[in-house]
Amino acid sequence: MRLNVSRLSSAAFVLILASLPAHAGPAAHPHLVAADQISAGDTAWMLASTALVLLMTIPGLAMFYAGMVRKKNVLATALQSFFITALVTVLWVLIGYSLAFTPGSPWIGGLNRFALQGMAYFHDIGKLTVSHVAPTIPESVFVMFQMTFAIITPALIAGAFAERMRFGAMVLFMAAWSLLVYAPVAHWVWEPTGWLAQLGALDFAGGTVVHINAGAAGLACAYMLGRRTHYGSEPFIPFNLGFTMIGASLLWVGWFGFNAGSAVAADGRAGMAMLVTQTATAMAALTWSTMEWLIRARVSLLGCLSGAVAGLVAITPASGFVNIGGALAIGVAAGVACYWGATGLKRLLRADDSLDVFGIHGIGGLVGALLTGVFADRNISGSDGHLLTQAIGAFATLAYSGIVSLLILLILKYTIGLRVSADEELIGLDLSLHGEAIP
Amino acid sequence: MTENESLLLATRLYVRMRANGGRVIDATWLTQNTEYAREILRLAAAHADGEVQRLGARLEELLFGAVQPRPGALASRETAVPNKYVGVLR
Repeated sequence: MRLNVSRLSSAAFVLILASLPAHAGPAAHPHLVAADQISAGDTAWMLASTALVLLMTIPGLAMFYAGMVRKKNVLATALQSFFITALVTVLWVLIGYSLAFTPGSPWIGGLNRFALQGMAYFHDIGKLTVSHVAPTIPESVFVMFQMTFAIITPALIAGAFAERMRFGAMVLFMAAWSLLVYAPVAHWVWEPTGWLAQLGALDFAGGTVVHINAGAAGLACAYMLGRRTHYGSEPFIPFNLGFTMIGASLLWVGWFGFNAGSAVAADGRAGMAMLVTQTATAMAALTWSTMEWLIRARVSLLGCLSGAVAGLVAITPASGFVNIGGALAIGVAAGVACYWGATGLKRLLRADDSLDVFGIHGIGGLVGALLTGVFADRNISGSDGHLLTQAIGAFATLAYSGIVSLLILLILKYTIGLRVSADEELIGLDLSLHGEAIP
Repeated sequence: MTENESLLLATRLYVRMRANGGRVIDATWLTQNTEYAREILRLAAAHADGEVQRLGARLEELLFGAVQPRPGALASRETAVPNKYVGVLR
């Protein structure tokens, strides 16, 4: 009997939804459409892109970071990426997606999609919901695609506080940051009612939303947690740069889902995004290596990998807007600026940003965001870039992310505490926090 | 420097020596018995692994005060622990 009532309720719900008119023109909110309005090609590409972007975090970023920390912290560092993946997934389907990608105020979205209520797929009547931001793919695919961005952004921050943050504090910080910083900034930039979207700020795949955002939060973490014990007086030898090479390679390949996937279509713009991504990345890797060669008389693996990541970061906001010339210029600028960010600027800032999250993601994101305003090609995107608008978007995000991150960290510091004890740090987080160790 | 720090270093030395060469030492006894400590520190100084040498040298300094560097060990240590990772990763 209970089963029958349940079936009756479901049937009634389906009928009510089915009776709603499918929108003929573009709607400003997620809405129901007939299944034949979905593009099979776009959907296939977005499913593939989603998997590629998830691959960037696990295992890409996990290996990239784990290879750069000391042996006693490798497992703890990898665990952070993996745990954040699970944590943000649940937060995203519960509330994050709704806050970021439903219409609301210019500052934050609404709660219409709380726990993804209203997102629907009705096989029998041939209808399903789509996001107004991506009208040719099922909303479920768009939720998943954007979820992978929401996952990798806080996971990037973990590099700044590597080897010294308490696990519980990390979990709470990431949860709060995901909802209080990531979701609002994604709404500002990518939801049409967001204030930066209204202003005309260009960010194709997340130079501002992901990289400047993560870089600023990383710097806040580095300052709030303080330096690692013996930082600056003892060498902190990376565990295995081979892991870092594998991680960076996974990032590079996965980034095609990140950038070309952000076209939300299998079309010529996605093709251009993929091409300029490859070009800028290669140019930045060559630039960083050349700088090392000139300044230090040798080329290092970590330098070449770092240059590639710098190029990937910087081309991210520009990837759907620039041509090959722009990609080459952005690659050179990213290589130079991020080399300085991870060396000279790092010394100036006097913060122990363990794995150079600000130096590469923050600086690379800023370079990319600003140069998008310079090199945006109307033939590719149909819009021109404006340097001032780009600067407003970039620095507003930098300030918001930095300040709110500091506030979250302050609350945690004076409640549960941020840092492991000196003994735990000396032993290493693998053994002291997680009871595991690499033999 | 406290006894606790000596024990922590001894524990790290135990883990490192077991992982690199399979030698099992008594970390607690190492911090309590001078003769045993000197013998283990001698082994650590002659060890092929630079990290074992470094841990041994730090522990020796904690237990017995500043020590004169052994010529061979110092050269080996410098090779194993490049200065480039002091305060900077890249």
